[in-house]
Amino acid sequence: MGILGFIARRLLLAVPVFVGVTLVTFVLMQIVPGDPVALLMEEKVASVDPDAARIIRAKWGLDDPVPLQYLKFLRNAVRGDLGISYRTDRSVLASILERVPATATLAVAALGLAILIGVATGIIAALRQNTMFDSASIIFATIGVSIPNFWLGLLLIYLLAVQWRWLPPSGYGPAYPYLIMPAITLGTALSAVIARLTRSSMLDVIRADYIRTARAKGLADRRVLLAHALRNAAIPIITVIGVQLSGLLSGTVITERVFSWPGIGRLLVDSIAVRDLPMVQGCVLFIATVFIGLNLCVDLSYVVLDPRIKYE
Amino acid sequence: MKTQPAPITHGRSGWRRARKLRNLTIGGAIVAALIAVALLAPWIAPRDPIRDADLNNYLHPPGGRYLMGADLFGRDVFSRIVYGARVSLGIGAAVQASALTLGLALGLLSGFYGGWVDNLIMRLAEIIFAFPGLLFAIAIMAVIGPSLYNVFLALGLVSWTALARLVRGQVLTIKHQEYVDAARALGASNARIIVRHILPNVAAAAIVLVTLGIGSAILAEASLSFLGLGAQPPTPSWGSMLSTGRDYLRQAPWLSIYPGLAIFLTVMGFNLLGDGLRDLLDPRMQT
Repeated sequence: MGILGFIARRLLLAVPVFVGVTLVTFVLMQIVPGDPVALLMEEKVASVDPDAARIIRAKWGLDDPVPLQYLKFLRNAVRGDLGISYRTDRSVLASILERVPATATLAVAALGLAILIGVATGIIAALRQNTMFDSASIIFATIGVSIPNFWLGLLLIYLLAVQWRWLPPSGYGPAYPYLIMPAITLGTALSAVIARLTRSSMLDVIRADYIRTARAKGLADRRVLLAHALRNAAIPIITVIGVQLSGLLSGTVITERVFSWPGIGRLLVDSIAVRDLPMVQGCVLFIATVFIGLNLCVDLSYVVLDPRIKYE
Repeated sequence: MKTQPAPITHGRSGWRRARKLRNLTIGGAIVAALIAVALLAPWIAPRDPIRDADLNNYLHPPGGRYLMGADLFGRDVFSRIVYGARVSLGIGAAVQASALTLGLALGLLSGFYGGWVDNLIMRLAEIIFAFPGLLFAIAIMAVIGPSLYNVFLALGLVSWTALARLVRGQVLTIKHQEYVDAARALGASNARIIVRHILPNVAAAAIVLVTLGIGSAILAEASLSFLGLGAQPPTPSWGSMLSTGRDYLRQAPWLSIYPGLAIFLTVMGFNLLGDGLRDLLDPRMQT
């Protein structure tokens, strides 16, 4: 099977997972105790008028059988209609899309930072195995994966913003100073995992015959390292980034709360606090869908990195 | 992509063994100390973590009567952290006990019976996996409301998938081995095959998964409580203490520093112990 067949198959496999995610999200919201219409009316007008409730129920299709309600929900979700917020009366999708730039900026900055620091630390540690730097990198990796990101964030705010006044404590602005602490907070765990894995996979690779051959034919160290060793070590690194994306995405929810960062995660937590269920449902579905998409990208990136992969 | 491993020299293997033991010892010591603190909390904590409020000592800095300072209600932060060990360890153990039960049961069912049972269970695991980590637990908490018991429910529902996959994989390999056929021919029941042949094969990996899982569950509880979705006041949960501390970072940094340190040490203890056990029990398993 060719590359196109592989891509098509992988895309098809994502469909049942997406349907499953919509089903679980839908079922979860069905479990919520109480009648959503009554909840909404109490919220808006402080009393429940049974006639008005009946009209709203009919309009929203809440009298339909539950399976039919789900099919309608799925149809609307595919069309990008995630409903209307109880709170703001605005389209859920529009509210989420407004927040995408903030969350995307944070996630991309954290990922970039994690890859940069993780890969560099891992390579140097592998090249200088059993030195002080190597031991330090192992300690960094151990601390990095165990430190709770919300605590790291608070420590950074306390030291860099409150004590030393180098950076703004929180908030969101176009300038990079706002981004530094959130990106470190979110990226540290990932960079620790990447450092550990880069180290061990470089250690495997630099002893391989083809590296000796590359050196023997007189290639410069830098070229051997980047074109031969790192490229082969990259596959497990990409895999672990794929696995860790899950932590990165849920980490945005926490990091955004620590730094009052106006992203989707904060929208989700704020909506839970005020019981804005359509918004909660929309955020969960949106983040899960993005996650499915990102995993797809990780799988496809193997094709670029490793021409030997068989597309099965 | 596997290449010939380098010849293992004495120095290298000695260094490895030392590291293995080091992880195991440090991790084990932290976890043992933590269990002792949780069990002996009433004797270690100088004050009651909830009732001993004294508004005259509102945000009393660390020192004097208050080793780690006092909180908004003049309660002793140290005592609350000591009692918090019970909350964290309790949640970690309870979540992993349910993960172990569900994971073993569903993994065995899935691998043993195959067919639609396998399909159903594995698709369910895949869907749970399709939600990024904490997000599914957050969604469940949004629906059932914040409380410590609900944290247990939410994390328990999410945490079984890795173990179920592991057990299922083992069952699939073992099911068709000749010694299993032989045991069956000798009249061994399914239960006997499971207990005698399958459980011993997954025990090592399961112990490692569960140990690492306790650390993750403790971190997840702290995260949910930090977001306001977990333990509610006045329960002395480290995560909810940090959630309050965030608002007083300027005036009272000790409200954030010490509970966070407790979570960090605890999670690191379980991670080191898990890594050490993995090196010891199952050297083939890699991170």
